[in-house]
Amino acid sequence: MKKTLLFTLVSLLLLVACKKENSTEKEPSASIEIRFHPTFNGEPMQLNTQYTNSYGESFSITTLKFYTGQYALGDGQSETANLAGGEPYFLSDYSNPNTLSFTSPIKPGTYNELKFLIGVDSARNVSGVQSGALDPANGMFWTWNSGYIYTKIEGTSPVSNQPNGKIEYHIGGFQSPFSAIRQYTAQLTAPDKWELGVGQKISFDISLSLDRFFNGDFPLRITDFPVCTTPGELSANIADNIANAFLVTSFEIK
Amino acid sequence: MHIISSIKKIACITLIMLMFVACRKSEGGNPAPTALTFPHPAGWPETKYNFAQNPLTKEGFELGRKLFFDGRLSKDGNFPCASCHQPFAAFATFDHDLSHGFNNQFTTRNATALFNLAWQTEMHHDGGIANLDLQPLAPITAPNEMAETIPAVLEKLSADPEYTQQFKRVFGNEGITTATMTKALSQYMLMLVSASSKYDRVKAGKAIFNVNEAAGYEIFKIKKCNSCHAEPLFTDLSFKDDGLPLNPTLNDIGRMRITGRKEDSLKFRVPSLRNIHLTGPYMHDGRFSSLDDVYEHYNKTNPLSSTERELLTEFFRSLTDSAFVQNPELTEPR
Repeated sequence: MKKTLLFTLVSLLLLVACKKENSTEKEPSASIEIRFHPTFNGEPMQLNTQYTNSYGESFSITTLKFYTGQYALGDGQSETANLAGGEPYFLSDYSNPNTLSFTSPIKPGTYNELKFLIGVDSARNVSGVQSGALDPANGMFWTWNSGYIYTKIEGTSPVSNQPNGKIEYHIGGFQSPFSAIRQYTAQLTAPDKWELGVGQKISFDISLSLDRFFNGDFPLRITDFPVCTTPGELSANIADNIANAFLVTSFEIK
Repeated sequence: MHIISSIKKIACITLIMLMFVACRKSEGGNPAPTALTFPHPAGWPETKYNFAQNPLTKEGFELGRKLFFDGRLSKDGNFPCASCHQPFAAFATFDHDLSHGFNNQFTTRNATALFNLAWQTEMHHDGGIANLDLQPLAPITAPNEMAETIPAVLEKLSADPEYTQQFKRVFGNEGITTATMTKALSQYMLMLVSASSKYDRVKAGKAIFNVNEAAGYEIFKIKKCNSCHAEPLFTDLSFKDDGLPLNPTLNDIGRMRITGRKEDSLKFRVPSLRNIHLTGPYMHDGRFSSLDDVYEHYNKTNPLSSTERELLTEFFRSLTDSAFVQNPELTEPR
């Protein structure tokens, strides 16, 4: 009988040994939702539709894909909460609406800013083959010059001097001085702090204004630059425009 | 009573044994793969590859070996990795200046010889590939090389039950993915260690140079060839502009294409001189078909008499690693 008890105890110990070590961190019990809305001049942007940029150049977009990641909520001081578990990066593809929003668990707290990276941190560009959203099989990776394409915008324009009037912007690069990784920070002012309670979800609507892609600090005229498919100065300049094209338009806590 | 307690004991022991089995990572009744030790030559510098991220196993190496010789990694089935990286040519392309690939297309460069890659952090003549695991993605997807897409390759491999089983054995439940495929290829390529030439035996005190080899070795050092071609790898792995004029039909600007820095214009990686008698033609674009052409090019900066050239050539012969290029464990699996 005693022996049996001992065996049972040993078995239980084994079971415990079998269990993967769980981190002692408390499970976050709030969540964050991100919803992207590609727009042109304030209206929802459509693929394969003629638009005219601020330089009077007409164009249409066939492909819009972009990486975002390292999402965190902050209180403007030292406290930040990163997404809990799961993938640190998301690949959004405008032709697949499911990829334009995601929900992830996060720690409850008092916050006043949302931060995320547009692009992929430099370590992940060079440390072997990543999986999930960052799998090179997703076609957002330069194989001849290791690194991710952070934003891919392709289409056509009658003013492009390329074959078939193509326009093609593959924006990326992590080597200084031409890193195209951009940090987006939204400081929220009204209210200037918000409480994300246990069991609540905070949802952000973020617009991506394609008009600003052309009409930014760097004047991107299709006539001058119909193509950018390598990391470098042009790519970094266009990355500035992209960073300024993101804007949190509203958020709500439920 | 006794019988019952015995039964209980047996039941408990069985339970414990079952738990041990459940604890094991490998599933599907597969035994775990066998660890493989990297053959680090004595006295060589530290390796650079992150083995912790991709532990070598016998089965992983064999899987990589199979992939390396498998034409299905290319669009039309004709271009396995080994089509440009032939074992008998020290894993370069024998007697070809520019490699060629899909649909009768030339590439713009000479296929690099593959060995001692564990010491290298950047691949290609221009160092554009930041990690050995990322390397195979370049030739697989280049339209003038293997001309395939990564998803299509993974699909072809997944359709083969033998591969499915092998991947499961090596990588458990990860399956056939970009990451597991490239890790397997890395395991094979990492084992391409060339350190058993006559030169290595001499260094280990197991052989002696003949008179000509010994004289050639002295010239090699006196003429400071080793300032770039540093022993024991016979390359310092740096990028150098060694005065080759730009070929206007290829317009290959080398390292500058990667870094965008003017000072990197026309810089290419210093290649290893190991197995140099097997890896011609020479230079990044194979523009020189003989060692004499190479000596002639360096004549402007580092003149050599014809005797010195012959002696150097003799010394370079001692860098041919026959045991490596003829190793049956590295050739196409049967």
